[in-house]
This record gives sequence, C-alpha cells and structure tokens, in this order.
Amino acid sequence: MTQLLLLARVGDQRVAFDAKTVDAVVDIDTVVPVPMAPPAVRGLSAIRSRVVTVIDCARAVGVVALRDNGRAVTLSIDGHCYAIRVDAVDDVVPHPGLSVTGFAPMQDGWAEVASGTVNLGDGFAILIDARRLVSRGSIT
Amino acid sequence: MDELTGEFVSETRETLERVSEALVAWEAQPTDSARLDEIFRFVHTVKGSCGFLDLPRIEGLAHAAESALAGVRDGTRTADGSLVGTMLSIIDRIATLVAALDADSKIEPPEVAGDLALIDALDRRIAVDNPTTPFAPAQARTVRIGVPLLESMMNQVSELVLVRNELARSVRGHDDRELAARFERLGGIVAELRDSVTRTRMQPIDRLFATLPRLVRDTARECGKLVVLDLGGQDVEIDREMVESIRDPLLHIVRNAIDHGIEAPMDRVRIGKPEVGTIRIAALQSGNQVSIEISDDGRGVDTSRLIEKAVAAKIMDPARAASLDVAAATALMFEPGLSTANEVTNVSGRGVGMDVVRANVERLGGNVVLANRPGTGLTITLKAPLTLSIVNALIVVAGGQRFAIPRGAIEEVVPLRDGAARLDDLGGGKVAVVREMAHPAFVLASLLKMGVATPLLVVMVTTPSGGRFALAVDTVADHEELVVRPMAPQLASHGIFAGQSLGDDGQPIVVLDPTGLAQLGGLQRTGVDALVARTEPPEAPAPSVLVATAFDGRKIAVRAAVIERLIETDDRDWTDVEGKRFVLVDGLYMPAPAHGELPQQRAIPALLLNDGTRRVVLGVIAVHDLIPMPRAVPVDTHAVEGLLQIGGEPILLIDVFGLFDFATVSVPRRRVAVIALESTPWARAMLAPLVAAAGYEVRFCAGDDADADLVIHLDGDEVAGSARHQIALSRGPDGGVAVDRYDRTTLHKLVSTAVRRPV
Repeated sequence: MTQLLLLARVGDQRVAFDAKTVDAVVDIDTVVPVPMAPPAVRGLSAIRSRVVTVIDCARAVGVVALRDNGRAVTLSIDGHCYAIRVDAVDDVVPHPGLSVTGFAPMQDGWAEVASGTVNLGDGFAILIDARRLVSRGSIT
Repeated sequence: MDELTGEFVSETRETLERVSEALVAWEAQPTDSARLDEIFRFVHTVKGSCGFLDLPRIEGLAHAAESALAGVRDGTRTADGSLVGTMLSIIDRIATLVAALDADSKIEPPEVAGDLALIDALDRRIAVDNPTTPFAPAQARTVRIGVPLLESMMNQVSELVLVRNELARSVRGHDDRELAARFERLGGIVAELRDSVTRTRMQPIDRLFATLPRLVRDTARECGKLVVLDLGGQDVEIDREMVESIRDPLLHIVRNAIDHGIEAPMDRVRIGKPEVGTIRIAALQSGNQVSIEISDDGRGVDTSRLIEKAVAAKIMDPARAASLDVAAATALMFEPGLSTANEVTNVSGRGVGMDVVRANVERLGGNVVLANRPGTGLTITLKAPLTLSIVNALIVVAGGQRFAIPRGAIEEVVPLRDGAARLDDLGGGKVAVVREMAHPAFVLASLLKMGVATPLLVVMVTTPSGGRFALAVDTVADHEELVVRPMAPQLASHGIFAGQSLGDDGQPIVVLDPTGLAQLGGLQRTGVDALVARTEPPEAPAPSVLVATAFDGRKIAVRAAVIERLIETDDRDWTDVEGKRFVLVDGLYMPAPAHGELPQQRAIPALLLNDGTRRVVLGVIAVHDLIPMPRAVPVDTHAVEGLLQIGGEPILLIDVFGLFDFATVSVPRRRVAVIALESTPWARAMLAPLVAAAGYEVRFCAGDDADADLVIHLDGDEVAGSARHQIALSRGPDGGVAVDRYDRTTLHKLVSTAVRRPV
C-alpha cells in the first residue's frame, strides 16, 4: 500500500504528515491557556470530549503564521493527544515517491522537525516528524 | 478458598494447558531445550507459589520435578522416555491437586501415597507403572483481562461521563419532561457503569501484602531477629496503580522496622519484652483515602542519636537541636542522609532512606506520619488516595481563568473583606492573616505569571506533608467531580499541575497540585525549620474581638477566641420557629439567637461560634474588623458582657456564654425526646422545634421508647420504657392536671427543666 500524506501549510511552507499517524483534521474552538507553558504550546482544548494539548506548529519552528484560525491536525504520541495547529490543510495524496536529492540546509526550526522532504511535482513539502515537533513544545 | 489461592488456581490452570503441549513436544524431541525451559519455569513457579500458600503436597511434587529437570539442564541426567513419562504423571497429578483446591469442582484430592510413589520413581530414575489419565482442566470461573483493555475501558467510560455532562447541559435547555426522565435514567446507568469499571481497577490490598510474610521471614533471618507479622484490613481495595506505587515504600519501611526497630531476641528478653517481636500492618479505608499503618514493638527511634547525627551533619545547630521535642526529632528521619543504623547492613542503611519513601508517597498525593514511642516501638502511617483518576475539586478563578484544586487539600475559603482575612505585603511576598494567624500566601494569578489580579478570597491549602499556605484567588466558581488525566510532558514539567480534565462546562481545566505550587512559590517544605517553629511554646495571644454590626444596627464586639469561622449565609437559609431563629449551615440547622429583624440583603454574613462543645450562629449585617480588645467597662446583663470604646464609639461586648445558652448541645449522644402523639402539623411545626431547641433529638413514635430521655404523650396514654421525664398533654381544653398543649410557656419551662435536671 502506498503511503498517504496529509498536506498542510505553515506560513508559506508546505508540510506533509504521514496520514496514518493522523487521527483527524479539526477546527479548534476555544483554547484554554496553560500558565507557564512553553511558547509553542497554546494550551488545552476539548475535541469531542477529549482534552488535547494544542501545539502551534509555526511557533514550534519559529516562523510566522499566516492566519490565526483553529485548523489543526490531531494525533497521539505516548498516550497523549495533541492538536498541531497549522494555517491550512490542503489535501491527502499518495506519496509521490519522487526522490529528492540535494537541498540547502533548512532554516529556522524546520531542520529540527523534518524527517525528510517530498517532491510533489509542483513544489516541495517538508515531511514532519510529529514526535520531534511535539517535543519542541517543551523548549521554553 | 481465599483470593490468593483462587488466583493461583486460575493461573496454574492456564499454564497447565500450555505446559501439557510443551510436554508432549518434549517427549517427541527430548533434546529441545526451549520446551525443557518452559516446563522448568512452570514447575519452578508452582513450587514457589505453593511454598508461599502452604500447599506442601503440590510443592513436594513440583520440587521433585524441578530437581529432575535441573539435572537434565546441567547434563547430569538424560531426558529418556521414563523421565518424560513420570514428568507427565507428575504434571497431571499437580493438575488434579490444583483442581481439588477449588471447592466448587467437587474433586477429591487423591491419596498422598501416589505423590510419594511418583517422587520416588523420579528419584530412582524408574518409569512409573501405571501412568495416570490426563486431567481435563475444568472450566475457569474467572476471566483474565489484560490491563491495557481495562485501561481503555476506563478511558471510554470517562469520556462517556463527559459526554453525559455535555448532554446534560443541552437537555437542561429543553422543557421536555420525557426527554429529561430518559436522560436521567441514562445518567444513572453511566454512573453505575463508571463505578463498575472503577472497581475493575481496584484490587484488594492483600495483593500488596502477599509478599510481606516472605519478606519478613527472610529479613528477620538475615538480621538474626525473631519476628511475627500480623496483617489486618486485607480486604481494603485500592487502585492497581496504587498497589504498584506503594509497594516499594512499604517494603522499605518493613525492612527498616526489622533491621532497626526490633531488638535482637536476647536484648528483648533482657528488657522484659517477649522474645519474638511483632510487626503489625493494617490497612484502613476512610473516605477516599487508604491508610496503611506499620507498627513494631521494637526500640522506637533513638531521637538523641538522630539529633547527634543531624548536628554532626550540620543539618541544624546544637542550640536548635536541643529545643526539639520527640515528634520533631523523629521527623529528622526524613532528612536526606540521616540514618541511625550504626553500620550499613545488607538490609537497610544504604542511604536510601525515609526521605525517598516520603517523596514517593507524596508524589501519589499521600503522606507519611510517624509516631515514635522511644523504647517501645515506632508506628509509620502511609496515607494515599484510593484512586488516582477521579478527584473532587473546587473550581477557583484566577486571572480570569478557571483552575481546579483537589478538595482534599482545601481547609477553608475565607473572604478577603469585612475583616475576615487580609493580605499583607512582606518583603515582596504576601502574608495572609486569617483570624490572627499569619500564613504564607500567594496570589494564584501572580504565582502562575498570569498578570495582576484583584483577589477577593483566600483558599487555605494544606499539602500532604502538612505545609499550609493561603492562595488568593478572584473567586470560587464551583465544585466538580473531575476525571483527571495526566498532562502532556511539555506542560507537566513544572510539577505544579496534577493533571488536566474536562470541566462540566465542556472546557478543559487544569488541576493544580498544592505541593507543586508551594514549591513554585519557594515555600520551604515542612522541614526542620517549620517543625522548630511549631514546637516552641506558643505565646498566649492577647485577647481580641471581632467588631460587627448586629441586625438591630448596633455595633457589637465578639471575643475572637470563640469564633470558629466566618460564614456567608443566604437569607433563604434563615428560618424563624416560634420566636427562635435557626440557620442552615453545612446542611444542618443551627440555632441563631435573634437580635432584631433579618436584614434585607441576600447574603448575610455570620459568625459560627464554638465553645468547644456547642455551636451557635450569630448573624450580622456586616463584619468590620478584628482588633485587640480594649479595656471593657463591665455591664452586667444577660446578653452584654461589657462596653468597649473603639474609635470613640461605644461598642457592646456580647456575652457569648449567654449566646451559647441557645445552642443545641453537640455532644455525640444527644438526649432523645419522643413525641408520642399523632404526627400533626402542630406537633411537627410547633412542638418539635421547641423540644429540639432544648437540645433533644426529636423522634416521632409510640412504640419502643426505651432509650428516650423525655416522652411527651397524651394524658392517660400508657408510656412504654423508662423515660426519665414525661410530659403529659391534656386531651381536651379543660385540662385537669396535664399541660394544655397551647400553653407554650409552661411547655417550654417543662422541656427546659427536663434537659437541665441531672441525669
């Protein structure tokens, strides 16, 4: 079976999540801030009676978000549910399988959270390692 | 069959099935060492369990099998057909004996001679003549479920509860009776389901105690002590996770008790103690808490040695050390690095001390209490919550945001106005003064770095280790039962949160951890300093008075010593019965002596007065200030003790003992008055309050009045029992000798004299 990718946007960057690690794409309504939380953690939100920790992807990698909406990708890591806020979710596509060779080192925090790059034909997306992204939330 | 044996039977049955397969495979291929290992593990486990459960027959068989298999493993014996055959017979026999343990199976255990023949055959390496028929395992009555499945059930039920709460909000919005009724039923079932699933997480504390007899025996032998173990309260059930978490602290304490507490047999005899020491371990459930008490009859803790060590280790200076009392000195055990063990033994004194034990228990939200009886023993009590997942919490608002504080940690909530409590600045920090006691205080919003807040209330919080501080919050919102989940590690690292939950409003809520907050605030834990402060003799506080405006508009003063606390009451909670006033406090009607009309305000502040045995409520229009008592000019009336001059104003010092005359006696055994009349509105609304106000517990019945102190009956009725006082009411208006029921004055007098007369 081919790997499916969930394509999203963070700032002007296209990113991709491994679709099988993603539980859902949601719109987060209210976020309850948590005092003294690291900057990348927006707080807690309730999604279908479940409390999730909202991680701001743009803040986690240190780029500027384009909009301030509640679009997010939920997934669970080590038994904890997270909602990763992104600017937009575009599509779910099969992994194009096109190899990417040679690119300049990534800037900002992207290098820390990327597990690879995907050539989509009409551009490139950063394949996000959700575990690493979420753990950036502990950097204060 | 007890729980442990039951567990053994079901476990052994399960493995038996697998082992039988392994045996058959091994017979076909005796060189297969993986099969051999599997069978070996089985007999080894069975042998261990049997030794523990005192099942000597099975243990003997398993031991023989184990030795033979061990021989095969190290090559001193070959796995020939006769060995495999005998082994099969032994396994079958174990299966039969195990099945016979189960009383319901009605299987008679076979003769012991058969066991011995099998063991003999193994030892002499001969084949058994008549192999037994394989035993068919009986149907098991219990099902073993993996913990992950239980966990996921628990999670799903928690979610179900949350959905129910959400749904409850929508249902409330509709005026549909049928819907409401159905929903109520659903809600009830969900609550029951949650209880059942919670119970699956619970297990008898016996599981925790199971390893203790062995531990005590081994440790005692190692230390050359004689010890008997006395266990109690094994049927108390606690959370599975709690069993695991509390195991190490418990084992540590028991080992310590044997190694350090119990004296050597000779020494015990010399000082007149029984040669054999006793360790008593008892579990007790009280509310949402379980206490495990470990007491020994050993030498207790030598506090002078502890102090010596503490001084030597520069933990405290000699002058302060000298001022410690026994409790404070014993608590030095909790200081890291202090051990009274003279030498490091194999058992204890390796530097992992009571400090670690306490830290572990506190992490669970529990605490450790020591009761040292130098020379005669030590009692250590571990207290822990029954379960980690459901917490009763008070919802407070700080900096505009809701937070939950576990109810168990909250002592009281005091308003920051009208003189009930005040918040003072002290060197950049805060101090809360509540009833003349100063407590370290934090403004919750500032502590959590949420900006400036204007707190209206202080919540008095205690940490499990006995620390006490005030948290100033904006307001208290609610009281909720929360299903608490651990927080993501990114948020949990501060240690100030006990977890996260979903509040009844459907929004996430952060549950605060009082211990973590105290640490964040830089509050010293209840260490040496705090203990010293506590052990110094308290100075007699100068008397002070609380100034308030009474219902009749006059300024009054009440001695602070009798004020238990300030309460806020709702005007609907006040009720007048025949000129006597009562107010609902904590769900109980308390007498509230009348001083003028109730003020026209919704919230009526009141003072709950307590003279040690009795309580009475004094309602006021407003509370002003708590001040040192100025000199009083005595005024000799029933209600007023004296006249104070405060700020140029005359203020009446209320004679509180006059007030307590109104109080209902709150000694545990209340006098019982039986009203042996028909339960008419008059009897209920008029007579009963009158009798209750005189301090009686009122019962309406005409039957067995044996324990009644007072019986009020109709003139001419037979009175059963031996009531000390009787009041006969006349049947008709023309009375005779009995009391007219509408003669309130006489009735009151009779009832009151009845209560005052010595019993």
